Amino acid sequence: MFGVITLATSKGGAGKSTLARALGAHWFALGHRPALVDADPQGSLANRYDAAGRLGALPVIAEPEERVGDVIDELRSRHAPVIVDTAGFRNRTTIAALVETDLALIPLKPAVEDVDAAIATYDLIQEINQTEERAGRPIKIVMVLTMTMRGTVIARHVRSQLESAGYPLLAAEMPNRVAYPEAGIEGLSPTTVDPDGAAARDIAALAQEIMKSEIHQIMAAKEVA
Amino acid sequence: MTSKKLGALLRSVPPATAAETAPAHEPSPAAAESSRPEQAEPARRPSRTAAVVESEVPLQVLIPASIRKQLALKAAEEGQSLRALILRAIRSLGITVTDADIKGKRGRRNI
Repeated sequence: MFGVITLATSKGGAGKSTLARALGAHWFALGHRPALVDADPQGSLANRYDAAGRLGALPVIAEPEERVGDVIDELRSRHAPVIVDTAGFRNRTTIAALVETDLALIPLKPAVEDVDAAIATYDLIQEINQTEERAGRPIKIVMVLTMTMRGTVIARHVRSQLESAGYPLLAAEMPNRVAYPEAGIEGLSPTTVDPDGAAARDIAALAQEIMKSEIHQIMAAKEVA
Repeated sequence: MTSKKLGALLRSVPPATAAETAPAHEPSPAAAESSRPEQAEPARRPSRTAAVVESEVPLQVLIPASIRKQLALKAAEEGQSLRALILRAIRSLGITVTDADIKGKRGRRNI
């Protein structure tokens, strides 16, 4: 009855939509039954959805209003994981989605504005964890570095600062690659366009690390059921 | 039922879209001058466009690829979104679709 991953940060342009679609495409290619919920009024995922395309069987549901919680609730009986993309600013829809979430992924570029927004989002989720709605079942939170340039000092510095401050950060990253915007033109992802390419391998590593967490057990239990 | 703590959290942030009640239309100065109490029209029910912008729900349908392609071409020719094009077609069936419905919410959110 679980299996919801929400990508959230109050900073726009951190890679939420790109990562949401990439993870959805990855798990879809592996034979899981993911669904994407586009809770961002900009509709980055919904606008590029092509029912006749190669990801046509990966459903994208646009719901930018607070009733997104009901949509997630309905979808998770048939799909796992339900991956929710949210808007790049603090809003009620994002909070409503997070209340229904098992794992919150906070993407951030190695830049100070992204770090500030990621920490603010982390604090917001911790506040949600203090509500009655989440009593006894806190939302798991992990940060993930996006659009990194390999070997740069800033990426290493941001990682070391976040880790030393005790924030949960995935070891895997989503490096900056042209494969994402290229595939995104047709609403696709590197895993779909070039499954053996470097970007697809990056996403596979990220997904594998996510799967190591308890969400793995949740998804496995759902598929057995 | 939302808990007090979550309710307070929700109230502390803006909605993602501008789905709140729009301000009532104020009469122009000229109209205000000419409208005396005895001439005032009886109160009318506010129209959907003036009062509330409804929440939107997803609608996904499977259609033949050739029709989808024609729709995309038509939308490109007219410089409109697929959504606007489809809503116009729905309006032509006699279903109530306002200009505000066609315009949509994008670009009207509060940040």
